[in-house]
Amino acid sequence: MAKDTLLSVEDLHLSVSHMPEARILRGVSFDVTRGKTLAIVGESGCGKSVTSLAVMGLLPEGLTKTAGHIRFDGTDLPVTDNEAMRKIRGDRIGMVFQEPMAALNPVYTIGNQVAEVILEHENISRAEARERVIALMREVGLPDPDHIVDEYPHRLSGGQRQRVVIAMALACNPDLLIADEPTTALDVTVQAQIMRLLKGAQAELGVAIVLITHNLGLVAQVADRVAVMYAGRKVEEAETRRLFSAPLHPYTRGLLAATPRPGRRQEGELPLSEIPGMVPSITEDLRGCRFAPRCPLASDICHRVIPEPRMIGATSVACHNTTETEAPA
Amino acid sequence: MTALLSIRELHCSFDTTRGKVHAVRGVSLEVNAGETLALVGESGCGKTTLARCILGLQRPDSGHILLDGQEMVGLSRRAMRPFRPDVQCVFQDPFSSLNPRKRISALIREPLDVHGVGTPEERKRRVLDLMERVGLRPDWAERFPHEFSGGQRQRIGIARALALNPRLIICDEPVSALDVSVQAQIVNLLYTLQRDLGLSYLFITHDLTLVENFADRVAMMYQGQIVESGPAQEVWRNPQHEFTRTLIDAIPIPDPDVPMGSGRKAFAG
Repeated sequence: MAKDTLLSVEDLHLSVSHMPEARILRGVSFDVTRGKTLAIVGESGCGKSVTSLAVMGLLPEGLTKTAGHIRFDGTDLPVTDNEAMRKIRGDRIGMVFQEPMAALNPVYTIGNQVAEVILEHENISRAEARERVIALMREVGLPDPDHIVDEYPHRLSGGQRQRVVIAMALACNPDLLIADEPTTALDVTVQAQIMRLLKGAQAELGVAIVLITHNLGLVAQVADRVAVMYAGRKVEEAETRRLFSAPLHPYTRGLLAATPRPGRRQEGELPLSEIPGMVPSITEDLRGCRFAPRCPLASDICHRVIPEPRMIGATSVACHNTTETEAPA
Repeated sequence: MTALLSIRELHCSFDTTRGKVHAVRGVSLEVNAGETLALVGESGCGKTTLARCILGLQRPDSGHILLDGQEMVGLSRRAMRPFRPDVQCVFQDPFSSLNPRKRISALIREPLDVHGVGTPEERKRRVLDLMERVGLRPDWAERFPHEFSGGQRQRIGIARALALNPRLIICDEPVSALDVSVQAQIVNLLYTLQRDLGLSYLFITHDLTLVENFADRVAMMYQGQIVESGPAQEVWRNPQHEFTRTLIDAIPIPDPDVPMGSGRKAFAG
């Protein structure tokens, strides 16, 4: 493990407990560097959210980690020990979820909820915690912090609520922030504000961010590296600029081509480029590559042998048929 | 030429415990036969209220809604009935817009049953035709909605909207709940249907990049009013209203060379 690696996930496998054939993750590995942003992208059901839940030790009942290691700051994360994880969650690993209203308790003031995080991890008085909360609210750009601290969540807009959730996540200066679709429920102008806030916090506090999203636009703007997931596997990982300029895996290429972008429309053509077919179900046991049934490059070997990740240039890609000659230098 | 749909000076408001909410404030717009008009705005701008007025689900305070020159505002339910098939709707959430207890065939047939179209035998054939047209396999007809993915459910919703041979379909965020690759399939399906059937779409969305790829014209809605409208590519290249500029700048462009907050640069080229 490199010295500046903060989080290292190695060959993670997850299954449904009473249904071992339902394999949700089939060997996922990635590293997160201190102070950097790794984006995990993929479509519904690819396993990106459940990966983050596994890291936080918050797997829903009925899901089991069947293999793999999760190392954080040099030691194995005690993901199955809830008491030990409680000391880490909120203190060293902060979390921001998609739906801010669901992340906040409607019957407590937001000040109380943010203070709770601090009081859980630090031995300070309530009055001191309140001062910290007000300062935090100022930092995340909430208007009139002295007043808003005593408000209830329903009085805030969606963007303001997400700022509160970010304040909670940053309250104890975590080393890692896991943001799972943090702006998907928000309008595009608010989304830009929230992403700016997260990047600002990163620059100031040096927090590493795992951004889980399906929005390739956000990825292009904020991520240092990108891992692309498909049907429980990581199919490609590269530095952001490289992934967008020289995508290697046919799924990554298909995803980029299907994304609406400025000036793409040609007269008489279909508006967007499609990936034919559908994602396989988690129980479907394909012998080879899980993308093969939809893949334009698929050959005989793709249906028989699971492609292992290999390096082509500076890109890690799990594909039999992508070759170095296709990768621009 | 008369527009297929022509809205003039439409106002709609609601009484709430906190006073009057003026959701639509004097909106005028037109949708021509065979074209896609994108209606773009942020949450709470009034775009869904406007759609509900057009569908006859919400009574406006004042103004006109003309369908092929025929006034819709003020018609009784009975008088409106013959016009209802002309305007159909595809909703955002394919999980809540299909009755989970009905089979796909019954869901797609429902509009035909309601309007008493054809014999039972003809309806059955029509359902199969519609399924084929939207890319659903005919042997799925007796399945239930929960057996389908989001994209397939949206195809079912589209088949249902097509059943009565509408002239205008109001699409209220039809792809924003879908994954990128599925979104592309559904958008292309809507495009192909329009080309083959001469449909018009009022396409309500907040995804501005999609609008540029798909719509003919765009109307920007802000606080109940249309603040800017025109051919989609022209508006994107040269936005006039401050609201349009702010919105376009905020679009995250899938290109690492276009920094955050400078979306307009990406469209200028």
